[in-house]
Amino acid sequence: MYTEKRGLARRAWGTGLLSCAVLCLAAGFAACQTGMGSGTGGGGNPPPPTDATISFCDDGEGACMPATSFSVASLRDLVINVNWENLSAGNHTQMVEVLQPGGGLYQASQSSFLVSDASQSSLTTKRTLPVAGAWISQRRMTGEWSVRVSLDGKAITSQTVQINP
Amino acid sequence: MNNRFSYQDQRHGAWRRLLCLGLSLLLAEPMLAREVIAIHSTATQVRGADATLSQVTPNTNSGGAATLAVASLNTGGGSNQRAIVEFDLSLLPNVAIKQALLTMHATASGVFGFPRTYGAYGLTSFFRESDVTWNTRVANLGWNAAGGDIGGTATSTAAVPGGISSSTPIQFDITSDVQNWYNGTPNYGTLIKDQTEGLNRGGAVTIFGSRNGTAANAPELDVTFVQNVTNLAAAPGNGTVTVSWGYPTPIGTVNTGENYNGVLILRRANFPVDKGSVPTDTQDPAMCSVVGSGTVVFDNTSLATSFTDDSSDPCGAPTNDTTWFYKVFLRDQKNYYSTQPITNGSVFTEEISGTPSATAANRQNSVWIAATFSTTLAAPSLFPGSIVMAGSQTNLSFGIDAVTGLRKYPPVSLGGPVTGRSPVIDAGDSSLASNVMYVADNDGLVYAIATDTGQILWAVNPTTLTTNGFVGSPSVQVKSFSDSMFTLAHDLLVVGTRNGASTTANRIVGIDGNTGATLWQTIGNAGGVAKMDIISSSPAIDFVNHAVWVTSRSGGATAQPSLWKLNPNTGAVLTTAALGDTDTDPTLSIPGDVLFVANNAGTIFAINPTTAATLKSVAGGDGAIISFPIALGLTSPYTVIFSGQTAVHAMKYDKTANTFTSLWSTTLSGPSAPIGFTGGAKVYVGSADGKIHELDAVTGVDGKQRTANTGQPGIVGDPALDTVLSRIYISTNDQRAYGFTFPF
Repeated sequence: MYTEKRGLARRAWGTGLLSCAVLCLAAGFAACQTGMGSGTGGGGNPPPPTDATISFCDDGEGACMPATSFSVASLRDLVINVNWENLSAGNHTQMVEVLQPGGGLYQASQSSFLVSDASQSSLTTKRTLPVAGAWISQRRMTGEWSVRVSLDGKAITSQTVQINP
Repeated sequence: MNNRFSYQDQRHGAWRRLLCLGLSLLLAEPMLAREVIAIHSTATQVRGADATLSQVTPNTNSGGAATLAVASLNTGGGSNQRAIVEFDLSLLPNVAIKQALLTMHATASGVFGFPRTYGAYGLTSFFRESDVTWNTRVANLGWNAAGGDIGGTATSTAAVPGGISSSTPIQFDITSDVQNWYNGTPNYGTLIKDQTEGLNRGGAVTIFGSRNGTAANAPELDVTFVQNVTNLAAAPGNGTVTVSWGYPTPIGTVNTGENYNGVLILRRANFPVDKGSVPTDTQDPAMCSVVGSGTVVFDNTSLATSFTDDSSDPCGAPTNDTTWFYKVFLRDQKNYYSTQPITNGSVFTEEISGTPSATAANRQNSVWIAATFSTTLAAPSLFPGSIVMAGSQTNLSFGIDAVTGLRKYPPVSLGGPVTGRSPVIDAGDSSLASNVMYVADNDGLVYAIATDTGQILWAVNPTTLTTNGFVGSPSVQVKSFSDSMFTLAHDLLVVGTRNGASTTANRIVGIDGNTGATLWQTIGNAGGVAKMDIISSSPAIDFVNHAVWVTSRSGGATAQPSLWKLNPNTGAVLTTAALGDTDTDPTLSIPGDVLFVANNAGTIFAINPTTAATLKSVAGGDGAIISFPIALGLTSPYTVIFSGQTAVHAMKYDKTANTFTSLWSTTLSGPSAPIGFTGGAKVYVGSADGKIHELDAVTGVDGKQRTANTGQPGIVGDPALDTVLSRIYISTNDQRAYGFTFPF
């Protein structure tokens, strides 16, 4: 058993060295040059920061054309689209907080998604907020609403939307 | 000599121990609050769960297995395994979390590839232990990401050694997750996974005990916490407010030197003290200092049980005719408070309000205030005298003690926002023989919840689709109330969908109250059924005419039905009426001889419940009607009271004469639906001015009010009346529910 462990350990070292070489190649020639004293002073371009844009539309209008202002009398559902860019591969959790006029929390929802690899670094999530027949229309909660989005616990962006009488 | 040496030794030893203790207190991390409890997960804990998600058998449920597994395996393109654990925290309904350590007991691990690093992640989607697999979380709904919905970063990681052959604890610090669960984030449990999955050549597997196996190896959660005060009350006088409270009995083991020893009270005029306004643990803010939006008005370390806020208050006396809010932090000897770090919120700290006045009749106070964490404007559900149930738009359902306002148990975590008034059925009446509440959420799931414990008895996706959410609540045809015309074996739930993307294909669903099985669906624009627009209301069960009444929108058209009469046994459409867009609940008169419907144009209809024909209609003249009309009276003529956009209105409907006669209108800012009862002298209405208004049922005079929160935006939801305790309960858009006594 002990011999086997050492053997495994040796193989692990060998595998580690091989992995290191492969990673170095995979990281790009420039990175390797840095290690060789190329004087570039960096480890390659850092990945661009994750970004998101929020847009709104009314699901009841069929095409769901983006807008920033709606009439409470005609708005059926406020669709909140969050378009993510530069997501890293792996699991992520998105929190969407809908704030009513005045700033109090109206609704919060979290959802997770998986970015399987960097080629899928963009995606759009959709959250539907009922308006017609719900409290927003019944109690005429009109004014400037805002939506705040965070990813993995970090605030990313927010956007206002007007719901008019 | 020996004794002398021994004595000196003892003295030196005592000094050394004291010195060590002093140094440890100075140098060590602060001890974490005062009570500690170990929760060992067991199969009998009704709100606990655990299971293994296996990538190689992605549709196999292991909810009842005696062990859990975590594996990193690349066989066949992926054979990883992940363990999910959810604890029953019912022992800790009213606490602030200071630390939470999850211990998994590993009973076996491999050799190859070890040691491994495992991560604990907070799950972000609702699941059911009986349904959950690698692919599926509840009913027919999948995870967004197969293998469990989690964030990108583990809350905590732990090293797992290889060669484990006997029980070995593996510990994760999940404090921040548990604090979030006590601050409005649903508790969907914890997922444990290998940090480097897909290991080649044999893989690395660890076996853990589950709640269904050996008790000593079951998952364990060690929680350090501070409780809230009990029996918080406020009594206003002339220029005074007396606040009183009690001290809780310890639930866990008390840390040495950390006995509860008093309270710290923050005060604010007109509004509740903000959620983030909390004292810092281990510090003692000065009297009259400002902590966030509150002022320290009482700083006690001698187990006081009351505080009279009056002219002797060095921070300023409470002025008359202003509502003063008090946020009361229980503290221990080391100044650990009943609050959590600000980043994880602290809104649950007990609050109360009082309005002093020179005139006794103008003095008022809330009897309790409870956090709901989001805007909620539906009338709370209740078992009078016992429990108040409030849903939230953070996917939670709260069971609140009607007497004290404290939680009966930690909030029930659901799959989506809850916006309807969920029906509750007493155990003596329910075919489930249990005190039960039926909930439908915006994401399309329907639940039966035992209101005594918060246990979810069943959860289903009755339409099997993800587009059919529910905004209104279900209504229940109670078997024990029904005659022989009702042929179903159990209670029946009826609920309508609100698929905003369709004006034609919404549906009404009949669900078995005992099992959650879908018994029938009446689908718009299919099978001969007329087009059906969104349904935002709750049905009316007509025990007299053996029918279910449902209102809907009508696609903006005049000919499309918006009133539906269904056979409760089959869902067959008996008849319809086109009344125009209708979002309000239909209301039956007590004897069931008239159905009242109010549409979005503000017209009130008296409907013949036999034929669905309109007997009479009248324009309310005040825009769309809010929530529902109420119909008072045991026989015709009935008093129909409803709220429009600017006022509350009362009309008399005389069935014999077939006439509506206006009785009174009382102007209010953005009124809620009214509530009253036959024989009662008053009608109660919430308002957008942050108050509940008490109107005279005969004259409509707005005689008295109670202030919930007059701050922005200050919208008060539909009230509910508890005739056992003579209390009225409301929720608001300030993330709180309030209780007051009535009559005012």
